Amino acid sequence: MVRKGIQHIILTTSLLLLALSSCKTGIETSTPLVVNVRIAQEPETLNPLFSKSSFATQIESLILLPVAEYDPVSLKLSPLLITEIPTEQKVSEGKHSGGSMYTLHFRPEATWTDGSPVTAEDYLFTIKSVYNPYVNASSMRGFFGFISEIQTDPKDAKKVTVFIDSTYILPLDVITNFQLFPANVYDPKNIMTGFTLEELRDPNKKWTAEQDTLLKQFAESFESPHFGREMVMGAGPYELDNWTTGEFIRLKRKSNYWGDKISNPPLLVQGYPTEINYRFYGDAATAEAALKSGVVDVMGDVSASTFIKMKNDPQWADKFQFASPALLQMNYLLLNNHKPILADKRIRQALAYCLDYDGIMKNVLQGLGQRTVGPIHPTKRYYDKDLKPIQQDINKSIALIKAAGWKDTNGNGIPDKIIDGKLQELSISIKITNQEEGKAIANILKENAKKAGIDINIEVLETSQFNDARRQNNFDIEPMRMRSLPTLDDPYATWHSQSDKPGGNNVSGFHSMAADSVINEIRTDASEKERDIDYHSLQEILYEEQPVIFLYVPLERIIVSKKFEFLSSSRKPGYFENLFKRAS
Amino acid sequence: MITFFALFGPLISNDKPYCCRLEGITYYPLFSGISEAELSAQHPAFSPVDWRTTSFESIWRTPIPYSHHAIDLKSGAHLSPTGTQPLSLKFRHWLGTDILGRDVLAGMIRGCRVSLFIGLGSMLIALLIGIPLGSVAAYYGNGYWRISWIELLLSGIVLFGMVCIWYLSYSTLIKIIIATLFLIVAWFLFRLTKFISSKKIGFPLDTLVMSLISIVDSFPGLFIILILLVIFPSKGLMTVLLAIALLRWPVMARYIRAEIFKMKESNYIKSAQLLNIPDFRILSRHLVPYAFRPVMISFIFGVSSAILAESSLSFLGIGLPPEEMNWGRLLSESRNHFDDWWLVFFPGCAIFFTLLSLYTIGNMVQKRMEEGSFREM
Amino acid sequence: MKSSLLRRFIGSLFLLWIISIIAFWLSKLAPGDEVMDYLTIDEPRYNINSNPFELRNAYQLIAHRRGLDLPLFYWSITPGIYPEEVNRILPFDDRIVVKEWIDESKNGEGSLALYNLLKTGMNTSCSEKNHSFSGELTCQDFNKAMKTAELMEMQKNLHLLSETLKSDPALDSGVLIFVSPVLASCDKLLNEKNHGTGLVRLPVIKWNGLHNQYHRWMTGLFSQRPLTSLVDGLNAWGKIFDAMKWTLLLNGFAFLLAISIGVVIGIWSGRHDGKPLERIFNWILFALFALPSFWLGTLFIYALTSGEWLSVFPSGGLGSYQGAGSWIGKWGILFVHLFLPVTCLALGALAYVSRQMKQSILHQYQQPYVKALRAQGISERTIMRKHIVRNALFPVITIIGGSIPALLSGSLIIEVIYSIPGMGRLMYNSLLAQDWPVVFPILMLGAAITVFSYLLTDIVYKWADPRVKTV
Repeated sequence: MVRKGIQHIILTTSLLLLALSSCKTGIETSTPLVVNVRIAQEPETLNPLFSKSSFATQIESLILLPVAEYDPVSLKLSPLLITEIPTEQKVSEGKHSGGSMYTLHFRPEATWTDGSPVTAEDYLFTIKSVYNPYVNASSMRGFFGFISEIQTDPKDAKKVTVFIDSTYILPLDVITNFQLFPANVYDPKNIMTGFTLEELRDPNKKWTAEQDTLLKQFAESFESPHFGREMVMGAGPYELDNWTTGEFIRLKRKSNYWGDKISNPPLLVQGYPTEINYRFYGDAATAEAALKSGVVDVMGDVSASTFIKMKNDPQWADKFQFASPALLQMNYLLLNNHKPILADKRIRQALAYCLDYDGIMKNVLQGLGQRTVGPIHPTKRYYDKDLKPIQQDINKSIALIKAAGWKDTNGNGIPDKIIDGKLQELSISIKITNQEEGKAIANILKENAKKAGIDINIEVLETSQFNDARRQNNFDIEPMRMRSLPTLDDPYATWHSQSDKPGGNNVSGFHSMAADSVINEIRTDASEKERDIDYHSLQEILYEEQPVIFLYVPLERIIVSKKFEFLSSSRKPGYFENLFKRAS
Repeated sequence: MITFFALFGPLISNDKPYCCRLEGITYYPLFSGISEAELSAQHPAFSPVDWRTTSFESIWRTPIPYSHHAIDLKSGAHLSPTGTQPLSLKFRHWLGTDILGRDVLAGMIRGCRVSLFIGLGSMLIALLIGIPLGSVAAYYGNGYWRISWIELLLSGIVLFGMVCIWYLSYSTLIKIIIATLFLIVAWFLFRLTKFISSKKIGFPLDTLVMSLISIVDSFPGLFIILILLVIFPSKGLMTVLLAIALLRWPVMARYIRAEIFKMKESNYIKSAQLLNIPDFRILSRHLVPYAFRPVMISFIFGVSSAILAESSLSFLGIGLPPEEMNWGRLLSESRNHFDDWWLVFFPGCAIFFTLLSLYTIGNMVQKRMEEGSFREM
Repeated sequence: MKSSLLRRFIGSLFLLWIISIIAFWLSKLAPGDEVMDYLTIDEPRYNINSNPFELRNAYQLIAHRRGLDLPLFYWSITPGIYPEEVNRILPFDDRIVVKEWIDESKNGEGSLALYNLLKTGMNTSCSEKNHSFSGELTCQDFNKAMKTAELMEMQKNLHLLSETLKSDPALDSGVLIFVSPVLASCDKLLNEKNHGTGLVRLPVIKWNGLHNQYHRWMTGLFSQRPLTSLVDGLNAWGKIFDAMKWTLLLNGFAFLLAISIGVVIGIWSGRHDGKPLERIFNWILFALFALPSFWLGTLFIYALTSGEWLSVFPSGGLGSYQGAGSWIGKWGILFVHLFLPVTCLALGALAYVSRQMKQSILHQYQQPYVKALRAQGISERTIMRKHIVRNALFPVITIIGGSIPALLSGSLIIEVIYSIPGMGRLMYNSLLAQDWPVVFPILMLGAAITVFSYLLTDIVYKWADPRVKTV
């Protein structure tokens, strides 16, 4: 009897629910524009100083606008909170003699959520908060380290002057490309106004006990979940409405938003949807189902095979739009040039020649990618088109290995050689994380290299161990991604021998006098033409040396419901949810 | 049959032929273990070695000319077993291929091996840990061994001394020598304590074993597996096997303990004890073999659950190395390519029939045993 | 009776204590440097080489906040050759390097002195306001030296550094002050090694007092001080209870479903044992058991939610239950979202429960009392309903008791596939992120439930059947 009763209840509820859910969909068409975005991982915090995942950045930049950001279409720095991108002015006297000066003017219309204007004080506050000794933002400190001084104008609250003494290739990024905090929200007690930037940046400064507690107090509240998950505010078109842990983040369009009042607002200042829901679907298969059933409207980073399959299936091609912009990113195999085996150029080349690139492009990427020869993105003007991407040539690999003096002397099937008095087998390990693409490439490399006689071991590591191994120089090969900026490339950090140091970015350990001198020239070249020539010669050197094996530039795979009109971009994540409009 | 595949898998499916004849010389690539690159270095006719396209004078291939890890991106990727394949009949992928062109049939045969190895191996290790601990705990109980305070104190000192020796800054060899000397001295001291009379207490063996079981039980299985996989530098079959075994032995130990507890009170054992038959002999000859039979059932079901556990680990991506191909890996790969029914159907069937046969064997053993026990009565 | 109960209770507490120590020890075995992990960003915005001094400062700050600068346990045993301070050196990478120096030179104090010299030198040269060439070089080279395990190599590099510095025309004399003592100290270490003056020492045992890492987190479990997650700064207990809510809902429903249906099927197949229909049914159940749950879950998602075949159920997540007005609506939305995962979980358990039930029924059939009842002429139906089922239910009740801990620990795979923020996922993610303040409470909670449920079962058994000996 009881069981029957339960059955009844279950039946009625499910019926009720079906009715309810149909109601819901009925309303949705007439209500304001709601965009549901799938993100694969929940961000830890929405405080841009402490968040690490790219998903967090994606959401943050809608709430806290950067001062200036690369435009999704033109890929040029576009002024968001300022009236225009500042121009460099040389300083010839005073303590910044020889350096340059930039003057920023904040938009007179720009306001925070509470209606108070965006001012130079907020700019100063943002940088000061980074330099609070108790705030954990060391990476940002390296970034702002190029700024020598910031002057505010007591007469004009919207004007700020920034001095840069050293020469750095991307000064405008340092000055403008970061998100601004509203000082009155994040520092309600006005603690940071009591400190000057100079004091905060002086590492030998001794704080009084009182100052110390104040700094600690600020750091603690600034890093607290309160400012990371509840009180996230800025000058952007959206505000945080609801964050339910493990489920979704909902953003709401601000009602009285300053961006509506200016003429010709830059793309990133605009915001059409009234509500954006970020739903966390970690599992790709589930996310795919969610997309198909309409729970999610936008999905980026779709697997290549799903993308192609859905695109070719009329059932889905009617309902969705497919975009595959080329990302400003290059995938490559990082080789550890410090290791005795890989220090030999010929072995690196042999590895490069044994890979089946066509197979990778055809199967792993399903054709959604483009080969590349070096660290310069193929869309760049100074990309060296004369260099042809390496093609698989096992015979050449075998010849190279033989030429390098490797021979199987002990009959175990793997060539060996005596290096530094020890018998070394030609056995290399590749460390990967648990990602499908990395796994596929590692498997292909293993199979291909076996044909050339190189023995490859695959080690799957947790992301933290994977990064640790790289940091401690304890790896042979790791598949990596390299981001490229829309502006000029600065190869110093990745390819100059001076950057090969603990904590440096030259993780491959590539050393070349020729490359060093070319890099130094690139950094100081005056004319575009000279620089282009130097970029070309750098690419040639890297092509010849193969310090790392460049694989391809992937195409992003984005699927968007046909309910919307959208804009695809080569900037990550490839779509901009604030620019979604209802399809006409 | 699965066992057969498991044992002779490499001989059935391999991309290296048994033997081949080229330019008048006969090679036995599969048996000689010579690498492709080495062959091509020695004999330019092989270069680059590709068993399929090189024209041999005569060749005898394995029935399935693919290794489970062989990748064929050019012509073989993502083929359906029923569709047309751009390969001659001899090289047809009978059960299709996955996205990287790995032959499903070869993967299935490899899967037999991996699954059986993991299933049987882990349960055998679990038995090896579980049976001695469980039986000893049940047989001796808490009060059987009596130990004096002095002995307890002494063993504490010995343990502490060993720790000290471990931390001495000598090379390992010297440490071992010192430790041996130390142990000999300790042994003499133990002999001496026999002459000092003191109050004896029961050694709580059973409680200790049960505590150990509780400790293992109270960690979530996932935690143990993850920690093990993280700690062990090499991630291979053995690590997965050990992790599953570590999770399973308490079950075995508990079963055997319960059985022996029941039997130990029987007159049969009591009389054996009275006859002064050594404890070890009683345990190994009379108790464990009989207690083993009910454990057998849980062993067989354990094997099947170990196979399932391994496939779940493959799903989470924390189990076997990525070049390994087995049923669970095939199934989890199929999740992202659900249209490819051949990635789902064949390994699914394989798991199903393996478990079914294990289940049937389990039931048979159980029936046999019940009949047997009736006959004994 | 009472005293033995008390003894068992104290024994359980002791066991929990041991478990906590093991958990703590395992956490320390996990490789990877959690602080470095926290400090590094996966995809840096700009390729900027960070200042080693800044990085170290940040490291110290985080390590201090997490209590990693404290000793591990109440006491510590270290080989005599390592000075006690070595085990306090942070970052961990440095500690390993210094230990290697000591192993090579057999001189603990000397190596430590060298390390300290390098560190002060680096701090001063890196933090200089105006980066001179020599200061910058010294900063980088010292940093490199602190990561060089081989003393010979370090000596070579340092010599090179000192040569370069001397040849620099704009030499900042302040820098050279640091280089020469470091070189001297390094030379000394290498010389002594060649002279073989390694000392033999007994291990040192030191009492660290209550100020240690283990004590810190043990008290953290019980005290008022909130235990905060290292990942997002949220209260750990809050996170756990949020996740537990969903897990209990999910597993509880699945459990009830599996038990109720499983028992019914078990009774039915027990009665019709061996008939063809029963055999087919058995096969189907067995197939459900033999299919991995991740696969079944995906099948459901694919076939029933995506619209490839049907789109009856929502695909994963919990839906917008918060937006629903009345509680009926709220539970309705939850029900729809939880239906598939619950079914998935229940189907897996169904085969097991029904098999147990069937076996138990068959066993009861063979009992003499059934024959007696039959002889009395009581109808088969009544025997079944009144006697057999009732007796056969006991083993099922044991299953219920045994799976309470599993009920709480969550089911990772189903939670991942259906994106439900339950315990399994929390545990998994926290473990991977090495978020120990969240992992420990989960572990200890699970352990406590397991240990006490054993205790409870024993007590209940004893109460029910006085013949059972206390073990």
